[in-house]
Amino acid sequence: MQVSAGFLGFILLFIAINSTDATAIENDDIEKNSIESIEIPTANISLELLKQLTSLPLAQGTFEQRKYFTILKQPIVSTGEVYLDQALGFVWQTHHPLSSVLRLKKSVLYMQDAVSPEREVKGAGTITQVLMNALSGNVSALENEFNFQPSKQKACISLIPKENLLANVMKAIDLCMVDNKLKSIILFEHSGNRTEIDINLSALTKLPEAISAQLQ
Amino acid sequence: MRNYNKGLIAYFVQLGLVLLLGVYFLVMGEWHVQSNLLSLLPGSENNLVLNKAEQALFKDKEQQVVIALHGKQAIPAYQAMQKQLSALPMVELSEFQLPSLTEISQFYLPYKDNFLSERYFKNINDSTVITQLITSQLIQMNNPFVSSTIGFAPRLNLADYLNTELNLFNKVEIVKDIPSVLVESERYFISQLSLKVAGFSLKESQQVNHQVLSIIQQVETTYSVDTTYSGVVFHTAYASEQAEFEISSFGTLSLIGVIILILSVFRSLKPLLLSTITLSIAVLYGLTGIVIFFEELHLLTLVFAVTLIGIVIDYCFHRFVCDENADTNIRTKKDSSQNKVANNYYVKPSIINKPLLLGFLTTVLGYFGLFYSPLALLSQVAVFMIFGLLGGLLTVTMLLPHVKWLSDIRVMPWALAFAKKMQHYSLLFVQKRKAIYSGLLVVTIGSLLLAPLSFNDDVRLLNSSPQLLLENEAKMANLLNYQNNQRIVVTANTIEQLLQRQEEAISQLQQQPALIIKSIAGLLPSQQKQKAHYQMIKSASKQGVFNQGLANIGLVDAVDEFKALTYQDFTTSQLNSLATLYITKFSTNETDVMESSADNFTLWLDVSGDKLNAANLLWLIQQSDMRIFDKAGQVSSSLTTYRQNLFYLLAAAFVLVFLVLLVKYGVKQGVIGLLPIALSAIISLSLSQYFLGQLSIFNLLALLLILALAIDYVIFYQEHGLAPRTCLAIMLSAISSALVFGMLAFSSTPAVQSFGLTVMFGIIAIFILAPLSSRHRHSDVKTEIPHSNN
Repeated sequence: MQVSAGFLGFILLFIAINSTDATAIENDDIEKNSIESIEIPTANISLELLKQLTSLPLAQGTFEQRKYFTILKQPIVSTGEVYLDQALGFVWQTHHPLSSVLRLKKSVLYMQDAVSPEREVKGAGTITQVLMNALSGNVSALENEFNFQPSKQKACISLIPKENLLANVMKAIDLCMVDNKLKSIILFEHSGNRTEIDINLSALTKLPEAISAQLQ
Repeated sequence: MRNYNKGLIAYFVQLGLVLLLGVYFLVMGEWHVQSNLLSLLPGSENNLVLNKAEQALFKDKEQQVVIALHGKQAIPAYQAMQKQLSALPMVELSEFQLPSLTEISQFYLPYKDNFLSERYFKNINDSTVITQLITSQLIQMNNPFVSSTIGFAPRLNLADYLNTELNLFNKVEIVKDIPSVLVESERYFISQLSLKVAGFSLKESQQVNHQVLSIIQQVETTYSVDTTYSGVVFHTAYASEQAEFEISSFGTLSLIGVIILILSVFRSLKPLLLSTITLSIAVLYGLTGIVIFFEELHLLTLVFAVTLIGIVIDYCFHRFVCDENADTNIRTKKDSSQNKVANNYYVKPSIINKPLLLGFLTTVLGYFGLFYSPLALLSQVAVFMIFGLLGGLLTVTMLLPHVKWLSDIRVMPWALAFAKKMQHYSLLFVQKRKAIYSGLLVVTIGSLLLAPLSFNDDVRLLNSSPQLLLENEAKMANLLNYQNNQRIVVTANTIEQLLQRQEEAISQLQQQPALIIKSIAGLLPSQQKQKAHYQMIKSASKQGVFNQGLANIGLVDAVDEFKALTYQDFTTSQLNSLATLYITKFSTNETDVMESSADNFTLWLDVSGDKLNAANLLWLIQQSDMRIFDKAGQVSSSLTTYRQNLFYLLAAAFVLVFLVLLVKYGVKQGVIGLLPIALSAIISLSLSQYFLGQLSIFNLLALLLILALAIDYVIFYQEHGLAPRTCLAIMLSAISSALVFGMLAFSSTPAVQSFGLTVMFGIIAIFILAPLSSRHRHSDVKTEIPHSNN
């Protein structure tokens, strides 16, 4: 009988802490309350705005990422390229200041950096899938995971996670658009740290062979 | 005043003494029932410690059930299912308080300089790589470990360490507050239950099994979701229901068969009643023997000792058939007052007492060998059988002759006529004895050469669980990723020693790169390792290895005084659930059940990704304080040990039987007597192998019964020749044994089926072959055949 390993295997997996499960924040309740207090027409307006986002099933572009840590005076800046295929996943290649690659394939995230070979990042599939949906303009998928509200910043919409899985990791995501194209993503963490990503995406009819091979 | 027969008085006196003795040992001794097969294995002190450790670590797993739901309506289905399950009295839903990453980070803060990930460890003296490691973590889009530790450990050694260690476990995600796993882009919601079912309560297992399955099916239908479920209780309930069905159906059929047989032959149910009394007394004797010589009775002893029924029934039939006073004038009314007994019957020494005694002694000699077996189980079987047979023999020879009912038992004329026919054909067989033996020997040896007997002791082959349950188990293993894992158990006297030994084991196992090792070693390293890592960080810090990385972000990170993270710290933190999952205390003392008084520590680690290579297996075997947890393997291995011992002891029993036959009946008759016994054994095993594909210990177990019956049959034929009443008694014995045991061949439980099939073939074989061992000379045969035809 193979039952034996079942329970222990499960407990092991279950108790083990998820890297994306992460930070339980005292502000959760406050945040949830504020979500609940949003008036439905405002949410609808935000949704309508978001729906104008150009859908990019296949795309390629560049990005500049600035990570703001409350403890640091200056942001940590990195730049690179991104390729995405809504059906397969995406490749997020950082070139500066160090070379590293994030690859989302079949809902599984793989990571490689200057020091270590590629490895699976377990449990990070959901958060990365959210990023993928934002980049590709898959609004209906985002609607399942977030409530929408206008951002304090102009031309931006705030996405507030509905579920604990995402809410534990981030406070909100702002998507900012210019001419119905996604221009920047801002990830707000509960700790006050934030990540700003300026992105310039162009639609593709076909991914480069080398990239496509990585996502197969 | 009544006169009582001295023999009868002696019988009751000894019966009373035996029962008193049994009660005395039962009450005064620390006597208990044992069900763990592994506990009966001969082993070293190390084995005992490891057995106890495994028991302590995994004792609760048999109470667990895991259910996975998948489908569009999985979340409402899950919620509905949980609600219904929580209403069941024997079900407890498992809930866990998961510590947040902030809490984990805060917990490790005082020990921030004691941890180096493999990447940091390998490059601790390389300033360039260390700088890259710091930078690469800072530029990750969303690394919560960096966010939560950069404030107090900006070298990011702790962030990298926790990220690496926790990433090993990460598979379960919480969605809508429900634990779930994502497999091939499909989400499965996981429910875990703990069942409060008492130890051996099969009824409760069945009840809770039905309740849980009913809820699962209801949820499946209502919400159109797929379900997968896993748990020992499903198998236990199925097996016990199957066993109940078989016991009731086979038992009823057997009972009806035996009743019809007895009614047909005797036109009375009195033989059945007398046999039941005799059997009950025999079992009481057997149990008394056990409580005198042992402090525990293993349940398997009773399984092995079922043979007692077959032999004692055989004794009874000989008594009923061969001692019928109408035919033999053994019981005659006498007027002599000195010979009067209570029931006014004078009992002459029976003609069956001698062969019964001889059969008993031969069988006991065979079992006596088992008594000295290094395996406690076989010693118990020997004691149970020897005492049981003694009780049966004494009852048949000393009590039954005084039971008035015995005189009422008459064999029906048709049965005697049938027995005479049997005698006739047996005599014909005896005429061609040489040819038959020669032919059978050639065929048997030929078949053995063509298809040698082969045994497979893998306990998994004895699994009778239905395909549906096995498929569910396999799917759940795939979902939760434990399909190819192995668990290694480590023991030690102190927690520090335990953690150090675990680290040695991991270090050894990591020489096989494909292995994925999950353990608590990362989250709770030994103090020795923490100190070593602390010294490395301190030394690297002095050398300025971290300076560039820290300068890039404008932070400083002083190395504090060493403070070790202890097991005590760990167990009093929110990570205690992990500590109790992996580590436990245990006692090697049988009677010591309190964990607080336990004096040993044990932990386990999970290895997957690949099978352990030869070097790792060898290393583990050489470690007296470690073992791969493989219950199926251990049980299989113990079955092999038992089977081999049983085989040798059966061989020794054959030799002993042969010696008895040689001494009693001479060389020729000895050989003639042994041949049917040996041939029956080989034929029954060969045929069983042909039909089953392979043999197991349960086929050898059946040989115990066949051997014991064969000895009786052969001795009766040797003593009485082919007398019709001997033929009839043996026929009744064979048919009743076939009805009771042979019917088990139709069981769907592989172990029971193996036993039943071999018994069936063995009984048929010995029934046909035993008459060949009779003492008839050719001249006797020639004179008897025409007579028997009349």
